[in-house]
Amino acid sequence: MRVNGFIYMALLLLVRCVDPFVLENEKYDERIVVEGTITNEPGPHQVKISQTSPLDQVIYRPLQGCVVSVIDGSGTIYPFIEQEAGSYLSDSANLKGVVGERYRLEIKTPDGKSYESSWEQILPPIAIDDIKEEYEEREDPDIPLGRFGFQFYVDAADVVRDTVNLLWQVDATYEYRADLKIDFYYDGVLRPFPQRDLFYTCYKTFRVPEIFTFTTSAQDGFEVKDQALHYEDTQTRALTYKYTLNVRQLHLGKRAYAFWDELKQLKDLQGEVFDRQPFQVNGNITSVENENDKALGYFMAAGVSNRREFFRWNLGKFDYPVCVITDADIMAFGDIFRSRPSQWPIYITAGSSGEGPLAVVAESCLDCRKFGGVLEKPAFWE
Amino acid sequence: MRSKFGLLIILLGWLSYQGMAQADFALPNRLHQKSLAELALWVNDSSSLRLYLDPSLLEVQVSFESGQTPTLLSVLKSTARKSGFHVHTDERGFVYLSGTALIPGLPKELFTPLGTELPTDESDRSGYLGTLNSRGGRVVIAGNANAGAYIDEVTISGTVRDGTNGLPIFGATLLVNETSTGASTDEDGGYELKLPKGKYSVTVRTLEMDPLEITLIAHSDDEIDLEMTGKIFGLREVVISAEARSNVERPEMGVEKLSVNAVNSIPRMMGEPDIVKAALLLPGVQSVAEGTGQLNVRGAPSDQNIFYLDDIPVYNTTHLMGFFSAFTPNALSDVSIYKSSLPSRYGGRLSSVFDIGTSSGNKEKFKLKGGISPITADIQMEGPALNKKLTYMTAFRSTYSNWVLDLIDVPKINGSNGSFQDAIVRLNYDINDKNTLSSTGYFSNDKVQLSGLSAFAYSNSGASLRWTHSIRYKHSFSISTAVGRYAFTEENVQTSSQHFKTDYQIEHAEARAELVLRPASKHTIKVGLNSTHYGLDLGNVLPFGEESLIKPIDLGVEQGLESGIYAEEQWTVGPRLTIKGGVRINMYQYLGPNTVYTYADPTDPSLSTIIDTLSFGKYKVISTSVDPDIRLSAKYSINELLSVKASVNRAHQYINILSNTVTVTPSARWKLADRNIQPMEGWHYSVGVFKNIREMAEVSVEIYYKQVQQLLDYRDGADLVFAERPEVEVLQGDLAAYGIEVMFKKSVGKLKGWFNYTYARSFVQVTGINDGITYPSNFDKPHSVNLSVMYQHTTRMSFSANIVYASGRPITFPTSVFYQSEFPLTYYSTRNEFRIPDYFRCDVGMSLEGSLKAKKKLHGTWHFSVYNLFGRHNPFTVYAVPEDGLINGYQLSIFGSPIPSIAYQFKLGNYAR
Repeated sequence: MRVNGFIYMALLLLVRCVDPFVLENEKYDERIVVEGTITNEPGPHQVKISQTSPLDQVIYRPLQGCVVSVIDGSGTIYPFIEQEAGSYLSDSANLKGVVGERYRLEIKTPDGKSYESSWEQILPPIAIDDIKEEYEEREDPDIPLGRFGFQFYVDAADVVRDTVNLLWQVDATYEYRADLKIDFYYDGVLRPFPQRDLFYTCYKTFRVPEIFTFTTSAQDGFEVKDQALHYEDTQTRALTYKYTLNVRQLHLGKRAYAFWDELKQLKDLQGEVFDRQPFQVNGNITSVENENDKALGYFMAAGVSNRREFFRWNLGKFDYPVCVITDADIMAFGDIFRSRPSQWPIYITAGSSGEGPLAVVAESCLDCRKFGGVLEKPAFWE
Repeated sequence: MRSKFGLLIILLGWLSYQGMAQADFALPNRLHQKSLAELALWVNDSSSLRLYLDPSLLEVQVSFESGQTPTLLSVLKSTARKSGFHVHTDERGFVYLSGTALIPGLPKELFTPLGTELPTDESDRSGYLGTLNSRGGRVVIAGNANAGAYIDEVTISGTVRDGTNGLPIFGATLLVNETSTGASTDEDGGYELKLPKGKYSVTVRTLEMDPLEITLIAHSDDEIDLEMTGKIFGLREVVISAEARSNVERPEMGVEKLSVNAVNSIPRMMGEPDIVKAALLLPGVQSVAEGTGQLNVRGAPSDQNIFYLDDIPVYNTTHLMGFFSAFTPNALSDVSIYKSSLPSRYGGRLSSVFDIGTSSGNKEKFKLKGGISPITADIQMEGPALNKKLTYMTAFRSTYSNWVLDLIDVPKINGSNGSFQDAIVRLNYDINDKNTLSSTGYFSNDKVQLSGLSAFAYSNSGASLRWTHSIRYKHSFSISTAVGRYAFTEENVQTSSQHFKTDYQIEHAEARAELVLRPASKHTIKVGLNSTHYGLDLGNVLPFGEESLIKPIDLGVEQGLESGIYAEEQWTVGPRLTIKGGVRINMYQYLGPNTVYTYADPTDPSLSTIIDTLSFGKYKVISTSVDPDIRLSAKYSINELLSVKASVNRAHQYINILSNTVTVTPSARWKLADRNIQPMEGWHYSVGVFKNIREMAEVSVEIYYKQVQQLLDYRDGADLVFAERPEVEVLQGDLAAYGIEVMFKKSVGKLKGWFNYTYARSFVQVTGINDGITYPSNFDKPHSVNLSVMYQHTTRMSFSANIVYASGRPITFPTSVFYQSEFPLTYYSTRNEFRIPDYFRCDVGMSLEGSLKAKKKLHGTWHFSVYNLFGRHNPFTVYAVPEDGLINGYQLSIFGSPIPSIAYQFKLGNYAR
């Protein structure tokens, strides 16, 4: 339960305006960032260590060369080995997350600083009951005809506990296609393309960049029902063929939940008049040498359950831009013979039927990978 | 009458020496052997006659002659023979006793060309405009020639009162035109003029009233009470402030006064004149951002201000969450703002008191006026009843703003509606010439429904009653009581399983008794006591709708009793030095029923460190605090046009608002000081120089430093909306604010207005917040400049403009980006480490009066305004949002374009009244 400041601010929409504001990083605050979770899942468990980046240069900056280990309540130390830059993995045969067990993270950075987390206990996982969607049209001042799409919801199984604090991490995958197929290519010589639909169908997987939290502390009973996840609309190709969600539900302790809920509140800030004022969200990892030196992020221990759900619709109405062959594209075909080797290969299409005039179009019309997907079908794809 | 040498007040009606004649009556035998002073008191109290006497005769013993029925004149005559004084009467039978013989007849100078008294019949006021500027008027003779034979300078003192209700007028100015000197009245209407003997033209001015012109013939010291009548309802008459001279004369500092007429004349936002928001144009008064209702006075949080409407405490002074003030403009007369020298009678707030006065009602005839703006319509009626013993004023305003919401092409607005109303009723009843009853009722209401989100409503209601008793027209005694209530309700319908409704209310009931004594012309003493009961129903959070899973929460109730006894004296030490000092003893009790938690570390309470739980029954005292307040101010006049002042104030506050939003929401709950939250204590020091430039203008410079201990501030991440244990969500620390305010005011002429510059800082330091490092408060705006000008182009047409500049407010802003769960998030700076861009705004307005015919049925005025003329996108805030793997910055402006408006005001009757 949260009072949405927007409800007050909405009245002011008549006269207010929002302009871009150039962010100048006057005081860049460099800190180490930790993201790690020990769960009841088989593992290996991962701890990612990175550094903050400036506002105007947003990149993931992995921190390599750290010495990472996790200690359980009985004092057993589990070392983590760096597998990729900044990504440290446990030996899955060695560390198995046990419900009810406590864990603590210890890090030694390459510059000799030591950090350690508070003790975190794995709470029992709670099953996900359902993942569902509901068609929803949303008006948007920037889109004259509004948005069309689906709002996703999650239900969790009833569990009789005093309070249940949940965090949902949502991975979405969808199948989509390019607008046109490749019929020929030119690399000094015009040749037929060996597999016309090679770059035609892609699968894109992404972590929904939102924080979904819920606690039963403010409600009667333990029902977790119709908790809103994200909204997906037809402005992209996500809803064109097949869509799947994998929801990872983490049962958190109170302090870990507060960390994520505070992050969520800050992420949702829209600069409104009645917004709460932002603040520093600090996790549970602190420098051993200097208690004022706090690492960002939270080392969690959580009972985790997963559920995947597939969706397929026949919307027939989409709002993303579609490639249409124009006369200029057809005329551009003549130009390929004057092209330089550095521009090769040049792909040529004969339209969606494969029988139209040859044309040179933007690569994104022919290669679905340009929208961020991959050609390989995911292992879980049905 | 009182005089050093034998003051005689001789009004114009005193014609000539009549010998010992009329109005004689028997005296009781108990007056035998008593003093003339006692005799005079008996006469004055028991008859309509007045007996005036030279103070040197006060102790003369009255003796009755045996065998004779003692009558007033026979007794005085026989006593005069024995004691050697003179007895005179005038045609009314009033008796004057003097040590020397009076010269019968009027001074010759009375018959030199003098002005005539202002006509009271408005039909005779066709020369109204000219009359305002004429000299002369009623003739007042102070003292007598004999008494003043050997003195050069005379002292005239007295009280200026509102003739319609007998109440003293604070801030009236008396200007001696020949010498360009003058005086101003104190809170009780008292004034004192020091002049060389002679004849003068004196102009008395106050807000909202016709200037009073008198011809003063000053022979010797005297006390003269003046009565002002004739309220001006012409919108043309712009009184920026009557405070110019009084600022130089009076000992208090940091006092501002705005009249509704002044506010009517400045440019308006959406056509609504707003007397409270106009205060933002004054030095030292800031707001976190425009479009919000909270005012920050001299770097203090808004909950350190209190608003009184005719004694009624008003806890939310805004409509539509801050766009407009919650007071019908036509019902108000003025607002007095005490920024520094808080009168002793006010306790319970550290920073300021906004004393909003309503119009008292016309004593002569029925009046009706009203207005229409793009947002609201209002109407106000006033007049006399019960043979003019009763005057009434009633005003009502309602919005019809739903059509505005319908215009907004935003889904969350479509299908929404909002409305507000407010009403004020005031009654004044003159029981007799010494007793007055006045009562005010107030109501304001807001209802907002936002489609698919929420429906909420909030309201203020209150009433006050005051009885004022005048004691010999010099002293006064008053008893007043008032109650104010603020209530909020909300039904939140965003997610069906989380639908809830909540409510909340605060009630403030206050009673006061006060005695004002003027034992001598140089002393005004005020003593009183008051008691305030705070009743807070923190409300419930309840499930709403069948699908709601919300767990009911009862946030409980709180009550506290704040009582105070105070004494204050203003002492005119000499012609240059005036001191005003007061002390107030507060006793605050936090009362049951309630459950109180004891924490292991009271300075850092948390739910995990509760070591004891105590329950208290109804009205059981849970905690008590006794705290002395100090009020001290002094003025030293370097010359008649230049003075320096200093003041020190110490105050305590026992109630806070719980808020962690940029501006306080209507749902924000108040919290009483209790066992875990200590009362706030504040010190306020200020010095200043005040200079009048002839009769035209005033310049002042004030420097202040204030300190607040036990200031309440929220912890990072605090949830204050439904906090069942608020003490664990907040911490207490210190606030320090300082600044310099420079003000230039021009009050007369075709071009009037003011310009001010303020440099002000405000810092907070709380252990446990921001790592204990000092941080700027939300309202720390170092530089602010306000220019407000009004130009009277013709009698019917005037122009006005405001130019406002202020430094950007502090904000907490992202300093870096970090990744969690595979997407970027922002990490914020320490609290209020950054600042949003500066604020600049220009408004313009024009007022066009209807015809100036003296006799007409309806007079109308058009007001054209453009708020934010240049459409500048003044930032309310700037913020950063993670979007598509990047952090994008945005700036939100409340008013992103010029806001033009047209408003029409009308009144029945002619132009002038």
